[in-house]
Amino acid sequence: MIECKNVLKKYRRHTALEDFHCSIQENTITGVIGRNGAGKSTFMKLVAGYLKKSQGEVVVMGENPFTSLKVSANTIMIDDNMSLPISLTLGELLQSFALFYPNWNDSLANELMAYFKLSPKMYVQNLSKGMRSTFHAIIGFAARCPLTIYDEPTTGMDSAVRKDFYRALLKDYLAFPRTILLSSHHLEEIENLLEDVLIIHNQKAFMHLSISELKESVVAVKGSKVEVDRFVSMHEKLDYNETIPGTVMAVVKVSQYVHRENFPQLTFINLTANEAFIYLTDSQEGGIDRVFERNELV
Amino acid sequence: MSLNEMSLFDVVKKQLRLKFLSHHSIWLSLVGIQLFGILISAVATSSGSSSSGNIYTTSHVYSSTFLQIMTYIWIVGTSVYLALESSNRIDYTFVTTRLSQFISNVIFLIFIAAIGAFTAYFASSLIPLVQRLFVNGIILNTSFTFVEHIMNITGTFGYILLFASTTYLVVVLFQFNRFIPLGFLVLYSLANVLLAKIGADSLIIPLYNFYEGESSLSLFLLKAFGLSTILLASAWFVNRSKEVRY
Repeated sequence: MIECKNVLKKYRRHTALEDFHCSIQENTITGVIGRNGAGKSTFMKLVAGYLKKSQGEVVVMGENPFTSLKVSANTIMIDDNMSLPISLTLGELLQSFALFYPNWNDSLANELMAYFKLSPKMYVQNLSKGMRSTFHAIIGFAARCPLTIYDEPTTGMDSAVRKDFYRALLKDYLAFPRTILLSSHHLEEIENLLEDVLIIHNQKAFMHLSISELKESVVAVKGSKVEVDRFVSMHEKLDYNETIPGTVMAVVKVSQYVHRENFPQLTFINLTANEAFIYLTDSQEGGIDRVFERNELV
Repeated sequence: MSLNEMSLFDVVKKQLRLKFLSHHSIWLSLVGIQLFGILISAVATSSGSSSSGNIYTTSHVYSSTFLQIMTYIWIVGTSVYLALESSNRIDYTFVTTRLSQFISNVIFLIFIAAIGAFTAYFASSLIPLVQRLFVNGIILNTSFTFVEHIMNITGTFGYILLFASTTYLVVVLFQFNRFIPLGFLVLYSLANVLLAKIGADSLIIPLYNFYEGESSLSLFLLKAFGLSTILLASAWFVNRSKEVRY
């Protein structure tokens, strides 16, 4: 469905994506994860055809998405910057979307509007940030586009609505499988939904793997300094802390499955996908604590 | 899920429908501005009085020029609004491409230019009605044949279309690079200063004569459509590979 090869995207002097490669299969839910400014939104806008690549190849549905009618007709991008005509009521807006999207499910849109207590007579400019995001999400569900892109769709939503959104997304996907790209700052909330994760880090596609592979790729161990050091030396060190003298806790990136039974002196700690992501993309070992430690030394 | 095929014609049709539905303010402003034009036009542009024995006559001349100027101002404002990226971004929330957006904008502009021309012309016929309400006296109307009516409307439409396409291009250029229209303005002013120094006419005079001096309606329309096509095609050339949003 989506193929990116050696993509470069520059905004004047600023590079948003570089040497970017990825391949996203049809009918999968892929989480697009990255730190702020990593290039997630740029990637999604390139795929939606809103932006023009500076170099490389972006192919969506077999075409260059920029100015492609086929891609536009089969893609919907939901984010908090959606521009909607303010003269139309929510009900009229839904009717307008129904006009453009042939798979539009009117009854689903109306049911969701009622569930989230959004009156069709309201105007979008009178909605709160969370309600506006909810309305955008309803459009995303009801449009049933072969490629649905959600860029931070839960911005402003309270936790109950976020929970409902994720549940609705999963149910809708199971009923009508399609290709979904979902970016969120709350990986811990969406990890159960995702089949694959595309981690964008430092403007590159850093990792593209399944959620279980992501969890398995990062291992936290605790034990005596000697044993932990021996284990760490075999892998890529991500974090290392001597919690009490002689006892160390380390986080490493492993390239292959670790047989824990081979290290009986070590305690293995299971990490969530979100923790694994944070360790993998942490710019500096020791994180923010290290900054304060350095500051205290001065 | 299978992919949907949509033709350019289909998308343009849908976009036009959305534009007609969502741009309430354009129609409201047209009504407002023409009502204002009618009221201002109810003030005489020239007056005169004469007497012969015991008979005193006072004559007032009323013209719809102000109403037409107001309609031109309206089309300029509307064209600015339609050419703005913030308005065009709405199209991209739905199905669109730069081409379909451009075509739908042009058709919409032509349509509203026609509506503006019709309403301006018919609103001018309301001026004598307003006079009947407030003025005691004999009202003499300039009477036109049906063909003359059509010619007047068509002429107004040509001017409105020229204003619309010029404004559209200026806004597109300004959004592309704000120094381009300013550069043109500076060049134009400099050229006029130089022409004035050598005693020649301003640059606008030949252009004005080219249109205003045209006595044949069909030739005038040809000139108006020709220039509008060049202006709008230039706007398309600038906008065709512009990104939608950052």
